[in-house]
Amino acid sequence: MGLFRYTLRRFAQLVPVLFGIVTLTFIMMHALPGDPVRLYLGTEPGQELADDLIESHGFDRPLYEQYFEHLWRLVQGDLGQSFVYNRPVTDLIWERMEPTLVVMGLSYVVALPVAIGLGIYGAARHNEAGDHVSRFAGLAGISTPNFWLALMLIYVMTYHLGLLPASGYTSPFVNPVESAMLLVMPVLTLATAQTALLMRMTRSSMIEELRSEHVETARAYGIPERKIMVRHSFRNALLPLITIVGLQLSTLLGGSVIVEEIFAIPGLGRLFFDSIIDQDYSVAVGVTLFFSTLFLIGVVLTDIAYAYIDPRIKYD
Amino acid sequence: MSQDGSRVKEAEFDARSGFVTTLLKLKHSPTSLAGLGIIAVLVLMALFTTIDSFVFDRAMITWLHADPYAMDQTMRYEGPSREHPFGTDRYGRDILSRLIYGSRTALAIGILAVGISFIGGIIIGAVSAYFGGYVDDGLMRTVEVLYAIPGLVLAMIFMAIFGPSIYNLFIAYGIVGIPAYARVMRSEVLSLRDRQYVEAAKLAGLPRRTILFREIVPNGLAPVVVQGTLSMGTVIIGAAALSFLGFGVQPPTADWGRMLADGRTALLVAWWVALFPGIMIFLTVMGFNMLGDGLRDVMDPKMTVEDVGIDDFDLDDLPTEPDHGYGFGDLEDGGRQPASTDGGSSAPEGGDRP
Amino acid sequence: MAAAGTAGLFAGCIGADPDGDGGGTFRIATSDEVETFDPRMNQMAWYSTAAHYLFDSLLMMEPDGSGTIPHLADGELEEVDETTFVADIRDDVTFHDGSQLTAEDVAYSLNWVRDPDNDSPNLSNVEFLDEAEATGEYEVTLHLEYQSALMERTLAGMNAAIVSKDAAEEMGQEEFGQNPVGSGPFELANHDPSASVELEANSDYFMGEPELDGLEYRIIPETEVGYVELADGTIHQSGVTEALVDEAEDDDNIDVYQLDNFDFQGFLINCLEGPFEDVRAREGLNYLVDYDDLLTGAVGDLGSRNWGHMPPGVVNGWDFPADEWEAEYYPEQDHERALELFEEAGIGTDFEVNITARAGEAMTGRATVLQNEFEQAGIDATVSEVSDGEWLDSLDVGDFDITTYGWGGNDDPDGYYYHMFRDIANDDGGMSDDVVGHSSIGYLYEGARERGEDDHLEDLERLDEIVREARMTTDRDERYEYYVEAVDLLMPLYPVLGVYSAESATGVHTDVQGYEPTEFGDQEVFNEWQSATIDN
Repeated sequence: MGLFRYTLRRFAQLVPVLFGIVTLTFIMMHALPGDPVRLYLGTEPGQELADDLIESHGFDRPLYEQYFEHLWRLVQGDLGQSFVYNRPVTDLIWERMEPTLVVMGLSYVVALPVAIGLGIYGAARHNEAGDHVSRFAGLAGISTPNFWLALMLIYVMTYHLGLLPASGYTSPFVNPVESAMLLVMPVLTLATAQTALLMRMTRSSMIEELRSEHVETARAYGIPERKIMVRHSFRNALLPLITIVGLQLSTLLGGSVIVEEIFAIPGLGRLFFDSIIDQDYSVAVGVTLFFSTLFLIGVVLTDIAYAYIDPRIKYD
Repeated sequence: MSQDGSRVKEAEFDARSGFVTTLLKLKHSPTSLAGLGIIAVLVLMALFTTIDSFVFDRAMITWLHADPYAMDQTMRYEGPSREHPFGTDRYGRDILSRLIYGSRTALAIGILAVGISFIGGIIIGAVSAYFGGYVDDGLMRTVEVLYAIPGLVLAMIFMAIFGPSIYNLFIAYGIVGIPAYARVMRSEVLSLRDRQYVEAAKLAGLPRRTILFREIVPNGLAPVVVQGTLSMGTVIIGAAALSFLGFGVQPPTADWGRMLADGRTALLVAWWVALFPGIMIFLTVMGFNMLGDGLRDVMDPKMTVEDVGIDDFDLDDLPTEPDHGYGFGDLEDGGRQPASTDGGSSAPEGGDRP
Repeated sequence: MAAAGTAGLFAGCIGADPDGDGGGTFRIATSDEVETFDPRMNQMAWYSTAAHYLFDSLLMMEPDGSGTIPHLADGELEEVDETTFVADIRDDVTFHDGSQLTAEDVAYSLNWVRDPDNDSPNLSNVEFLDEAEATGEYEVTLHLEYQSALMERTLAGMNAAIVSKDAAEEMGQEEFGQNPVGSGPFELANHDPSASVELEANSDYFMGEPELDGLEYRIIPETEVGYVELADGTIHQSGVTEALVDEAEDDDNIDVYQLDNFDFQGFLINCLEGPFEDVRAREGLNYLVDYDDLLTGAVGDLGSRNWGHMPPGVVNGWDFPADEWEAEYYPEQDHERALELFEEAGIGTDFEVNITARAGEAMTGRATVLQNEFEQAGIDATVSEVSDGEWLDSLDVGDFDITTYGWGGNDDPDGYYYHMFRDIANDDGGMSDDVVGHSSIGYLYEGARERGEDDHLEDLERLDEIVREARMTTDRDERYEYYVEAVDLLMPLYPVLGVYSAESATGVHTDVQGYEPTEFGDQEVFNEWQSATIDN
């Protein structure tokens, strides 16, 4: 009951933030330089067509009018029309969503178990050699630029070893084998920094847990260390991890721009990058809006999971 | 100034000397010393290049090694040799001296962008927490809006709006970073504003602005400084990523991200063009992360890098949020230990499987 | 993940033919997305190559560019009088939707592009045509506005692609752009935006069914990744960047072809305002730069100097006096002389130059080298990379000092002079005041008018006149004289720095048999001269 109300309240709190994002992106759309109409027309424009286009897209009307229309259309789920593709932005986002979500999802799938395993290992061997190695690896992981890693992976894995294809995307739901081959490097690129971050997180909260009073008490009762690790400490240590998993969405969404550009994956990151280059601003704004919404929902869901798992949180 | 005022000064002094002590503790942490070492080398390189380029018009580096901007089309893509230990790029420029000059760009981006986030974040966070109410709501919602847009995406949009140049890069990443600092500062001020010396300052009749920025903010700076050290790395990588995507530093400025971006088409035949700038970025970021890790550890062993991340988002809605006080004590909700003495079997799910 | 062996095997299998009897699928890397498949509305370079697979034209270029052969036309065009030509159309051609290709379709396609109401970007290329008329079921009469030396060339290109009238009218232009109906050797099978364009063999093609099962264009934004895939055999053809040419030539699995691009590459100088509005300042720029260094900085060995703003293919083909031009208009680098001229122009060395460069290695490359020359001479210069949209805007508004400029033409001088150096103000109806249009290169005409430079204006008026005249003449000797005069009128005004003409290097995997890319050939995986298959 309380959790349900908490859930509702958390989602309700998103509304003003979303409204803010819509407003900010609208301002950005009009602050961006260049004229989409101009680019669309190419090198030798006829003024007549330019006027037609401007009129049909409402670029000649006062800003506040355009803003309210923008809001009204958003409420109806309409993100506008792409100049370049001449299609609704929502259609484009819908089409390009799968690769981005698959790559992101898989990088969670790869990162979480590795990070938790190494994190617990580091905590259990606190200040021993193994811990130092994993700690250093963690630091190295968060310090490696992902675009550099991606290029080096292609250089070694594809060019020198010929092991993996370097470009393209196949849906795992259509051809799992081909898809897996194509996904290895993109997922590795995204997952490296993520694993490192989650591992550091796991390690430090485990160390903290292991030092805590109730663990001391458990030790005093003679409960075996292994059992303490798994039954008592880990579950508490997991809590901050849940929050981080939600917050990481933001980094991953940003990372998708780079990964999709390098590995030629037709996802939302590429769509965003191309739309900025082509000055196809309704698409750029649509994708930004979609990314932020996805992130906000992710954060709220992890908050709810947190509240659900952690009995100490009372959602009034 | 009244007697109360001088007491306030003492408290401030204590806080500062505390900060110095914690810095001294760093010497027990080999990781942070190593990080400090890397950063010191970078700073020296950056100072050297700054003096060299403004005072001597690159005469020093040319005499020592090679002019980072001198082109020689007969030496395109030369591999590492005695003359050019790290090889040359597509214009025949010496990569080693460009790497050295690149340290100035990297540090400038890091320091200025972090500086903008730092100052902006402190002001917004402090004002928000101290005044509370609508001010708090308004500012924090705005900050959340910025925070909800992925950093790289936001930075790309800013660069597209302002146009690609190194100055705009500072501003773009400066703005992108503000939310994190604002959050940290806000929670610090919340925990400090009812402290004794603040009460004392109020009694002494100091104006609110003075109390906030003279008494409260300096005492809450420590975690923000940690955040700053750690986010130097993030900003340097982010700026390099922007340059990589073609939105950042403009040629011919020596910049690691740009060098890497320009080197990628030749990667298969001239690995040195992209490898060395990548290593420089890696080492620099590593240096800042190592130092930041160490700083965090000596300030409070409990505090974790990632806690900064947790606090970044809207958790003030969780009334009994554990463990976001950075261990500076005095938090009303008192951290997690008291709450968790109920033992390990309290979690409702997960561990109950046979 | 899969073991190494499996991976290698898998990579090999990608190119395999599923039926085992056809010619396989030919995979080509390209870096740009295709936005519309409608050849009437598309100017993109790579797509016009691909468009030839979907659509046919009346004539077809010979691979060496020496002339055209009939394609959809049944025999040579018949000249009725100077401005009237009759073309017989083959009666055995069907569109991909099964309908018959008739004279109606041909007339419709040509007239559509010619009709200004349709705003085709290709309009200026078919201006010589007044009207195409279907004078029989399989006979089209072309009524020309003026006789054009470029007629056959145009009729062999995608500016005059033949589309299905019924399909195009029924769908409307936008939908047709996504569902093209042509008569070419391949038809569109699938388009994954930002991922791939797949074409499959047209079994009813009038020249027989292509041996290949299909063609697939893979959209790979990073050229070096495209090359890696080529070296790996995942892809059969990919562009090769200048840095990788030697590497590709050493690779036993890759055949490298270097082909002339027939383009003009250089810098546009703002003649209207800014530091180079005075012609002496522009002349000074010619002494400032080392053209060979600029060329190397831009494309390494993948290009050659150009003379009179025309690529070597044109200069040599027409036997233009390149040596004279070189001696007259392309001085040796001489910074002192450059500074003298800057001084005479009243700008001295105390000015700042902003060089804008469109994104891309060749553009930033030459801009970076030019910036370096300015620095060497003690002049402050900066480079700003701009997106295509910002670049077009800056050309319209004229807020640039020096900007990178490139123009793709063909093997005729008209492709360069008419498009780059005519006076737009003299076009039909001129241009509206808002849009100056950058075809009037660097505001050369506007600058001269604004400052009332009468002697320049006289030359420029003559230039505009002969550039237009040369277009309407078919006599080659006469045209030769026109263009030589044009060069001598234009060059002393230095509106552009003509640096080079590019070559493109393309790598083809040795798995591909019976295929050799040429400079002018179209439908090259299946045409009169060759038929490609994929061999594993």
